[in-house]
Amino acid sequence: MGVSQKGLHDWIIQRVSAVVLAGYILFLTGFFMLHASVDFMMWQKLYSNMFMQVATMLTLLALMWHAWIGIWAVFTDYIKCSVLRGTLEVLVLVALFSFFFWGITILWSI
Amino acid sequence: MNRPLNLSLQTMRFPITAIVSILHRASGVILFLFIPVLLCVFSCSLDSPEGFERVRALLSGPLTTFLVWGFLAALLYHLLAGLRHLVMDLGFAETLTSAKATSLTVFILFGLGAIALGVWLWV
Repeated sequence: MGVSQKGLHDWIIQRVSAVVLAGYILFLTGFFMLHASVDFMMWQKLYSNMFMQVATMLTLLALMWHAWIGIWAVFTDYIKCSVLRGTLEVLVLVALFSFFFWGITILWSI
Repeated sequence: MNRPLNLSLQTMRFPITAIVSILHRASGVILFLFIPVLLCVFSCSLDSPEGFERVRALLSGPLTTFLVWGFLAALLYHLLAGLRHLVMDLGFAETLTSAKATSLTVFILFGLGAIALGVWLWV
């Protein structure tokens, strides 16, 4: 991908992922509002549902991508030393990939 | 010596739109730091009935309740300030006056929401 396209690409991804995340948060908020006291059975039943599993995986992807674009922007604006910035970017990318796969394994072990 | 000092922090004021923006970033970074914590809690809560009860007990401790409030408040703020961005992306409230009005709206809704979260968690 050309450098000139990266900005537009990031711009769209950041907004699409934001809408996905907002939808998921709204759904969970509704779930906790409808059920005054959530117990393990209800919680496990919710996350055993295939639609919920797919929605959660999609949300995990949206979260990691959204976080990456946001953190990248913050690093680019505030860290002037390119070696330090590059190192931190790699660390954040490794962390976000790890978080993503960690989340997937949690869903698969239900 | 009575000449004006620039960068005098006591007289310098950031416009409200800049404050809304910087807090959007700050809350985003805070939420990023919470990702591993959330995954930990998520993992434990779905592991077993005992794990679920452990999470419930842990989250209702005095210090952790405050952390839960902090996380939810950061999430609420980030969500509201993000919605403001989406509204402007769609072409609404793009003038300076309306941008100030939407900034104030974000702060007011956040204030009310943060109080509501506190009531829900502690009362």
